[in-house]
Amino acid sequence: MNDTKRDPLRIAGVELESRLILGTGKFSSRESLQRAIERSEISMITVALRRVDIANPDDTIISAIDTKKYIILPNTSGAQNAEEAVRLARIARASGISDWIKLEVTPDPKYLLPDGEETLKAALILVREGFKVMPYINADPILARKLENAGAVSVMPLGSPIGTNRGLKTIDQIRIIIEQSNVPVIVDAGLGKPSDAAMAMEIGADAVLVNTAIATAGDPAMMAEAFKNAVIAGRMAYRAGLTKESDAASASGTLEWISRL
Amino acid sequence: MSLTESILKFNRDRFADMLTRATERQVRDAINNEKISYRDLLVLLSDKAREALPQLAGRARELTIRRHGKIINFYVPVYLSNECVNNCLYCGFNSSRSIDRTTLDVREIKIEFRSIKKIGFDNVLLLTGEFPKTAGVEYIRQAVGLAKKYFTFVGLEIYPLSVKDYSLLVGEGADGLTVYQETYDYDTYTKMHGAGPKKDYRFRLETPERAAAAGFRKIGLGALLGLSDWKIETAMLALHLEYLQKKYWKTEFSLGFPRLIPPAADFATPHPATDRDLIHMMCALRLFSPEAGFLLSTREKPSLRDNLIDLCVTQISAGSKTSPGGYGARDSGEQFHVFDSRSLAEMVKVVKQKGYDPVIKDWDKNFCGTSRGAERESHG
Repeated sequence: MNDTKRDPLRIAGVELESRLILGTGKFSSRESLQRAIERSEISMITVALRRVDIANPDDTIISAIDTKKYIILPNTSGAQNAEEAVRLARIARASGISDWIKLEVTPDPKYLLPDGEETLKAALILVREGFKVMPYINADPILARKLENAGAVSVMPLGSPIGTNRGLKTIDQIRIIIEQSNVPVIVDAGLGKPSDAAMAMEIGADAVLVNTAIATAGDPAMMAEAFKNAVIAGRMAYRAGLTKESDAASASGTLEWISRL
Repeated sequence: MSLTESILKFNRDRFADMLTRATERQVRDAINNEKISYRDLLVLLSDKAREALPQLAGRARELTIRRHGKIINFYVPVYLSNECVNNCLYCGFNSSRSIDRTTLDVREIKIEFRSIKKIGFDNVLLLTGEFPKTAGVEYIRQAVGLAKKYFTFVGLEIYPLSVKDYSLLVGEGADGLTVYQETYDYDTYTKMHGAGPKKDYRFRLETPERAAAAGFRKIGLGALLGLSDWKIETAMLALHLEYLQKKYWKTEFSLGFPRLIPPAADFATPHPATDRDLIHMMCALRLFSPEAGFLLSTREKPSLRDNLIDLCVTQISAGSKTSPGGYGARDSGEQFHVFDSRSLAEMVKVVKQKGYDPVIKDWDKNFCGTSRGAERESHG
């Protein structure tokens, strides 16, 4: 494998240079967000529709983002059921924000864990309506398959609950999702350190989404760059064959005589 | 044991004993635990925890930022009526006080909403006293309908109602309900509310539950600090919160920390809570519930409010008027005198200086109550 070759992330026929997606909800200011965007060199950025004032487009978080340079991935954060998520997505598209949608249905305000049943319901509707649907899910391999069948353009399993910085607690399930998936697997939520992001990439995740760990760091811009580098390193390690070596033992050169017995 | 029983049977002697006997080690563990238990919370109220207040505060700040980000949300109270049949000894709207009474009519409500919108708010808290004759359910329903035309988030702080009446208001678009228990101490409660419908302790205590069953998306809890020992109030408030979170898992609960401001010279605060007490209480509850929104009103003075912004609050009001019509519609009597009169624009500046992002809109008009609220009620 040629490690200098371009290695873009392909989602829904679109190529993204960066495999790091940035969340925007917890930054201390627009300026701090902008610096993090620049240093992380991302291609895609997610914005909570609940924070966007459609009637007042100049005054939203979107005005801080260069929409020519970055794909805006609006999210349905706060929706408690399929109906609410679908309505949010429709408004986002109708007001010209995007036809990409990060589908979040989180009826439990304590841990913000996703509701698989309602997420699938919403995905079926939104795919039919032509949205590029990227659902946030628990690390559930069966649900991931159902969403892929429903036409989701990626699946976004969580590493641990949103905002906990606890890392890849669901690693075993995520491995299964990666093994079985035909759409990009993006690990979303819970990645607390660049090494968590690197680990997700090493095991074969196609991308990661990070918010809390960058936004609430002492120096968010520097942390954004650290995550960028970790994602690149993890991806490179994966392409270099790290997972194969750890997943299955292969006979090393000095033991070739055994096969000749 | 029901919530009411747990609260009424709360063993004060054992609690008092624990407050003095908790060790430094127990406090340190409670501060450093990733997740703390109810027992840990009680330890955090102890004398030893008081000595470790700076560490407790540091942890409270860390948890707040991790969960909520470097964000401060803004809301504004809108008093619709100051008419009231109750006699709460500590309240400026007490029916025996002679103040200029009024209930805003539709025209006046619109004037208020327009001027609040112009200031720049998108999250309003509509308040009334208890006076069903002029400011009853139908009146409030109408006000909610009007408010939804101007604002994304509409919260209510009104007198306790039935599930049926609350459902009407949720149906009209009300998103949140705040109901403070005033005091969880039964004897004090009875003393403070000698007459009027509010004297029913249980009915008030069970109000958040009825509101959750009716489908309100956000519910605010709290005690009016100063009526009884703040440590006992904190212990009971936490019990209340935990009970509600388990039973109504789709509802988001937030906490308010109103400190009593005596309405007149004839009322002396029975158990004044100092700034240090308030901070101790807030920080202990933050460790207990990292996810809860913490509200701060203009009852507190500017210097303390500024300090709390980067400690553990998540939502503040600004430029508040505590009299119906105060934003321009008319003059009338106020509930209490605000200590921080800085405008929204001034507070936005303060929040930015503190390194936090001021947020005006954090809601969507398509959020329509917790789904299947009515169904839960029949099973719960």
